[in-house]
Amino acid sequence: MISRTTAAMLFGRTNPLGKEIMTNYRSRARLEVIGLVGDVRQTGLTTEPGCQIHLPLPYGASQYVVARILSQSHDFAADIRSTVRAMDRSAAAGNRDRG
Amino acid sequence: MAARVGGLPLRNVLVVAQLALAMVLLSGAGLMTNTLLRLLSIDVGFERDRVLSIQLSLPYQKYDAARRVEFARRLAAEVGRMPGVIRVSAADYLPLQAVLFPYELSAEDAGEKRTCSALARNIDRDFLAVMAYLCSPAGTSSPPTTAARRCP
Repeated sequence: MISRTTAAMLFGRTNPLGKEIMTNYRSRARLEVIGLVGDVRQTGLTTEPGCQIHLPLPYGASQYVVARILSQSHDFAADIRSTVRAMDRSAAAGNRDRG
Repeated sequence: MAARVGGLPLRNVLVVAQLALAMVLLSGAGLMTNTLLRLLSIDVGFERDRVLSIQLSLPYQKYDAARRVEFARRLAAEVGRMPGVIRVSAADYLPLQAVLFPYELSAEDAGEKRTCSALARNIDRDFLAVMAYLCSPAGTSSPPTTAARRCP
């Protein structure tokens, strides 16, 4: 999936869905556009979003699990840490941020 | 007799200095409040409220890329079963976090080669919905705007 800015930069006003993009990575030299998403701030609040693409997770090493929760009243951190420990004692999880 | 500075009573000089200092402090506070309000009103492209992110720390000797993905998916399934959790997913990097490896992209548009340097994020199923990104309606190419719907 590509962002709005990427679509504008690479395809102008042409419909990008189904179009092919070439990359500098040999293992994924050609990608097909399957969707369009809005721009997201990447490197900071004051930096305008540039080109962005979203690839399937198996292309990278997952570092984060994200969850949309009903309310902030419950502290999930302890539950998640104990779940991670139960899955593998050598693994650890940090509650990086909660909006 | 009252002390005088440059022909003015010292008390008057102190009052003027205090007023000047108060004006400087008020201006500074106003500017800071304005900056804070502007930062809060910036559209970051996703909904920040009620998003929980869990950073995994897995030993590299034991977990290669494939096993990391598998672990994250198993954890996501466990977290998804917790009461109060609506949706779960996984990713390598989060928004507002610098991605280290840019992709040099190119495409042909009307016979013209166009390029851009893009940041890539690797995401699992439901990531866009969890983060509430803006999406174009399925099957359309209209660019997502602030009026567009959130990804389902």
